[in-house]
This record gives sequence, C-alpha cells and structure tokens, in this order.
Amino acid sequence: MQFPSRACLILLVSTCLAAPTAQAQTAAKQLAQPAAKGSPASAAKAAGAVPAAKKTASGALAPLPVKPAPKSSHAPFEAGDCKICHQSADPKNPGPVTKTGPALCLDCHEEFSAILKRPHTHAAAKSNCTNCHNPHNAAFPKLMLNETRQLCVTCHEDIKKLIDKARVPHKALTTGAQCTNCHNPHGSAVARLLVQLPFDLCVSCHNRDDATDANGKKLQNLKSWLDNNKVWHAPVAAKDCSACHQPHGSEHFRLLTEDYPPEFYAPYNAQSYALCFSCHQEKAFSTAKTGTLTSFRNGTTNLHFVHLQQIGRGRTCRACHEVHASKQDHHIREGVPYGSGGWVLKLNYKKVDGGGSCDKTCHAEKTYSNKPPVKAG
Amino acid sequence: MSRLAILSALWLGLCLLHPANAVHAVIGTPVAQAEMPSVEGAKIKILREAEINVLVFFRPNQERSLGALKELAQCQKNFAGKSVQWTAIASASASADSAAAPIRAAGFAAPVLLDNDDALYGSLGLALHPVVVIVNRERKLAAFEPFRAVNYCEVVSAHLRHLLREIGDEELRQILDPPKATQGGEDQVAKSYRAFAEVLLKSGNLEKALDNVRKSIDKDPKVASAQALLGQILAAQGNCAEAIQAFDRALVLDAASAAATEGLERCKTPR
Repeated sequence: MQFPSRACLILLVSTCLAAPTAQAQTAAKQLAQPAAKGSPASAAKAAGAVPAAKKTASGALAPLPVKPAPKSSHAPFEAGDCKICHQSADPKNPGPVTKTGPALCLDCHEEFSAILKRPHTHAAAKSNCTNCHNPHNAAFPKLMLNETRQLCVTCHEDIKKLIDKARVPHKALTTGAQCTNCHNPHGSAVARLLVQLPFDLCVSCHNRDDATDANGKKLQNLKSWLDNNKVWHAPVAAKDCSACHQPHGSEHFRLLTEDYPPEFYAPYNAQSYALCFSCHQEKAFSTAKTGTLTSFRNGTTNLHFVHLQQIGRGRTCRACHEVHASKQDHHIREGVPYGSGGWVLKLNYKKVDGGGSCDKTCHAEKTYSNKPPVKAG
Repeated sequence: MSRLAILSALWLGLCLLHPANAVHAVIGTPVAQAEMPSVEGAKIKILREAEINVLVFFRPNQERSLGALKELAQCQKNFAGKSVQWTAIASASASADSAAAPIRAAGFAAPVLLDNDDALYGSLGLALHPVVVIVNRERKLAAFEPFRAVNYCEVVSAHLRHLLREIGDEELRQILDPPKATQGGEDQVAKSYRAFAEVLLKSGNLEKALDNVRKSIDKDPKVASAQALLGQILAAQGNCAEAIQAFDRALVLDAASAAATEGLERCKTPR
C-alpha cells in the first residue's frame, strides 16, 4: 500500500502533537478544516493518497479537536510522549514515525502478530493499521476512522451495493458491532474473515424463540430446532448457512440466495427452484424414468417427478421436506400445516431397506421400492 | 469387460454395501473399480494407483461447479508431487465438449470422465453437485464433501492431508471446526498495556510506565511478564521492597521468568 507509508508520514510529521495541550488542540482544529492548497492534507492528496481520502471526511490521521470530545484516545498519545512512536519528543516537530507499516503498532499490540499470521488476513490490516485507525484519537470506539459499517463499505463497494438494493435486510448488519458481529477485520482461520464458520455465527443469534426479522416476522429458533432434529441438511451439517442464505441482504425472503417457492402447491417451474437446483440437479426432478438419479423411485418411476409435475397441484419441496433438519431420513418432515386452524397433517413416512411408504396423508398408503428388479431365471 | 458387466459390478458392489436409501454411501464403503470413457474418447479407470483418489463430480454450466473447480484447481497445487490422483466426473448426458470446457476454464488438472446413465453417481447415493468423493488406498470411501461456500479448499485439503498422515486427528478437527477468531478481550488489552509500559520504561518514563503496567495487571493479574515488568519498574525507582513482591508473584506464575529471577537477584544483592 502506497499511502500509509508516505502520506501518513507527511501528515504525522506535520500534525502529530504530543499531548492534548492548548497548542495541540489549536493545531488539530486547523487540521480539521478542509485542506487548503499547500496544506499537509493537500500534499498527501497530491502524493496519490486516494485511499486516505476515502477513509475520513477530513482525510487526516491528525489528533481530533477537543470538542466534541473524542470517543477513544490512544494511550501513547494520552501519555504525551511523541517519541514513543516518532523520532522526536518535540510536539511541534515530532518527525517521522520510527517504523513503517504495522510494525510500530505491533511493538505494543503484540497479540496482533499472531492474528496477522492466521490463514486469512485482511489486506488493509496487513499493510497499515492506519487504514482503519487513527493513531491519536477518534470520534469512534477503538480509534476507528469512521463508524464500522461506513468504514468497511468505503472499500467493499460490492457489499454496499448488495446492502443498498436488498429487499430483505439482515439486522446483524445494523445492530451491535455491525460488520464485526461476523467478521474479524484483522485475521481469522475462516475464509472471508469470518469469526467462526457461518453456522456457529448464525446460531449464536438465531437461538431465541422471540427473534423476528427486519419486518417483524417471527423467526425459527434454529438452535432448538437443530437440537431436536438430528438429520441435518448437508449445508447445515457442513456449517455453511451461506450456501443458501445471503447474510448481507437479499432479494428473496429469508435472505435466500435464489428463488425458492414459498407455496405448498405450485406448477413445476425449474426457475422457482433455483435455490435447490444450485446443488441438486434439475433432471432428477424432471426425468420421468430413472434408475440412478434419485432413490425416491418405484422401480424406475421417478416419484419426485410424479409429485412435482402434477398439473395444477404440483407439490413443492416444502410439501415433504424440512430444509434445515428433520427427525427422519431424507429430510422428510413429520407433517404439514393444513388449513388455517393450525392442524398438522402427518405424512406418516416409513423408511424401509430399499424403499419406503407414506400412509394416511395426502393420499392413502403408497409404498415404493428402489431396488433393482430381480430378473427371472 | 463389457459395459454391462462393469455397471453390474458397480451396482452390486455398492448397493450391497450401503443402504440404498442413505443420503450418500457411508464412509468406509468400498468403491468398485470401473472404467469410464473420457472426454477424449479413451477408456480410463476411475481409481488409479495412488494413496488417494479424489473424484470430483461436477455439472457443466453450473455456477457452483465452476466455483468449486476453480477453488480445487488452487487446492491441487498444494498436492503436487504427492500420491493423490484427481479425476473429474460429469454425467454422460453432457456432451464431451461441454464437460471439458469448465475444467479447462478453471485450470483443473485431471482427466474428465463421463458417467454413463449416472451409474457411479447413483451408486454412491449422491444427490447434488459439485461434490468431492475421497477414496483411500484401500479403495474405500474416506470422505464426502459437498460444495461449501466457505473454506472448501481448506476442508478438502485437510481430509487429504489427514489421509496422507501429514496432520493428525486433532488438527483435522480444528480445520473442520475452526476456533473462534477472537480479538480484544481483557487478556489482550492487558498485554498491550504491558508492552506499552515496557516502551515507557526503556524511554525512562518510569512514572507512566508504572501507571500502564498497573493497568495491565488490573486487566489480567495472571500475566507473569507484567508482574516481572512491575518489579523492574519499581526496582528502577529504587523501591526494591515492593519490587521483590512483584518478582515473587511473577515467579509463581512462571517459574522460568528470567526477568523476574534477574530482577530478584539484583534487588537482593547489596550495593
């Protein structure tokens, strides 16, 4: 990264004041003004300091004015000894910092040496701490240059677009620590700087009976559901909620990444199953005869085809399957809501070796066998 | 061996050894050897001579397959020169050209085989794409990894390294279920104050050094190096009586603390 080593230097040399003295505050106030031609800030800009211009409104890493009181302040700055970080102790002319990049910070914040060696690290953190932090003081906690989400989307423009256009928002982005609810901005063992695998993160919030979505609609207590239903869908078992959900906001209900039919009955339309077909192959549901594409077949009669392709009353996935977890194999649900009175129609699915049956449900008992037929003779 | 015989052997071998209605074949299921046509028209055995065979089932024109193949192409490089054979398998319902195209685009180095009637796919009880099926030297199913949006390469690599005995069970577990990536916390704040106090001590600012090392100890009194540093600062101020207590506390926490041992000796040596 070009900026921090050069432009920060210019700014720090020109503006770092040892302690919040009257002199320091006067200088800081001056720096808080829009950069005048020939000022340190404009010099930084001229030096190609584009990222800095994105970082803060003032584009500076200088100490903030006394009022309003900064929210956080760095201990060495508070100690009033410029020489801790700079070559000189003179507040009026502290000179350059003694080390470039994160090395200076790591002298004290030693734990970050290990964090920055994790399998996945943030380029911004590796190149210079001042990409996100003001080394003197800040209007935001943890010396952040801006409010967390604003700071992140300054660089992560694609995520900003996703958030802005999302019809279904995710409250995790606007509550608590915002982006850092789920991401560690320095380093992690999990890709995309996730603090944990998606499942562990999701369940750490979706573990309550009273949780609601951004529109106030009640959400399932996922932890309790999973604890009580031990046959987990592969992405759940792989702790990969992001296989089906877009955590930054989505066009689809429940933050789904693709279309998924919300109805019980729907005419077969491959596009409406885009979510399922992003892993499962469409032909397993649109091929009438098969001996291999699905085990839900009677001989070679594909029973998925039979259920989904009925004219007028095609069943959707949810008619028979639980999406997260179930008590029965193949994610077969125990029953389906029927009517408006909350009555549940049992599926009475029974699995047997090489087949199964459903009884007294949408239809009278029907059995199927997917074993290859025994040839006579 | 005729095609029918191969399919029959596969069917028999696999259907007998795993429940037909399992979501996928159970780990440990023998995987029968068979030949399949490649996209170039040659006949190739699905399992080749190696410690590990990695069968990558994919679908041409499927976004997730393309993503997985790209990720696995990078992953493959970590196993160059090792006894790992990679094979890509698409349904024979796809044309040879359409099956070869994503492999080329991803830079995935493997023969591309066409699974007639999805026989192998079906016999392994697979129900999705992309999926990595890992077969060990004994030609048994060792791992099954459907696509993950997060950490796919790490997970597949971990299984391979485990089978190659490069990592043990615990390391495999740690990769499959990584620890929480913590930051901050009282212990880390304590370490920062301690380190800052050390800088202040070196610069001769004893008063502020003392103030900061005490902040460190307030946050976490069980850091031996902070207790030792407190002793050093107090000793530098000429307060050996209190310094000795701090050095003693440091040695209780870490009997090997050189700073505490040296500091203690210095304080106890009459000047």
